[in-house]
Amino acid sequence: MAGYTFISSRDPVDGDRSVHQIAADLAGAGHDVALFLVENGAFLARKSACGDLREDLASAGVRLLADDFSLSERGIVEGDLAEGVDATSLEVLVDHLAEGRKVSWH
Amino acid sequence: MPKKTLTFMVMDPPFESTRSTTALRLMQIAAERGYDINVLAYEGAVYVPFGGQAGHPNPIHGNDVSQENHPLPREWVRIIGETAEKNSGTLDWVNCGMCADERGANDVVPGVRRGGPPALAAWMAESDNTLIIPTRG
Repeated sequence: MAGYTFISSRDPVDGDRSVHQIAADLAGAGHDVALFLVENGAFLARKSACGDLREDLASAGVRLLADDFSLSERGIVEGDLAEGVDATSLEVLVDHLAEGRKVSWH
Repeated sequence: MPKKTLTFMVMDPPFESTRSTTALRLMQIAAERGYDINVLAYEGAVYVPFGGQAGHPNPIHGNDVSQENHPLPREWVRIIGETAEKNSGTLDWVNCGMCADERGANDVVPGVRRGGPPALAAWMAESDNTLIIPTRG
């Protein structure tokens, strides 16, 4: 099972809800699913926002990864990160591509 | 690190959406790893390697052109190609010919060639993975 990686680049308040739902559904069905937050999608990594959505994703088994450059650009520092979100380099996304995971950017 | 081939399709024009910047960041990482990289630039993305891009001064900050050092996507495309080659990889960048004609975007940096979606189909069959980066809906 190669696994799925969904790239979320829109502000979670007004975008990418279908991406979040597909990720949660696939994880709930037993697939290995990662959600990679980049650009404005990185706002989902902030502990003060969208806690219910993060909880839904985590309880379904979706791994949350956030591009450290996108976080830094938006002033989201380590202390602002929600529990369960891994700040990581974009290198990880290239790893996922190289590993043959199904990577989707809607 | 085993050699891989990654294919990207980009559709957003430069200077407007951050997606084109993120796409170039991904390609830069792949180039540093010595991967073979294929790119189909479609629609507005044909302007990413556009040769007419020019830096500008910033009168608000009081910077001249050299001080402003405005980053140009065409330069990044060139650097990605050079980086890939230095690391025994390749960059094959295809601009959609009809998209470029529509937009008058045929002045491109060296190494960029004309083509179309059939190139993408062929690359997808041969690559380790493909990432389609659509325009923002």
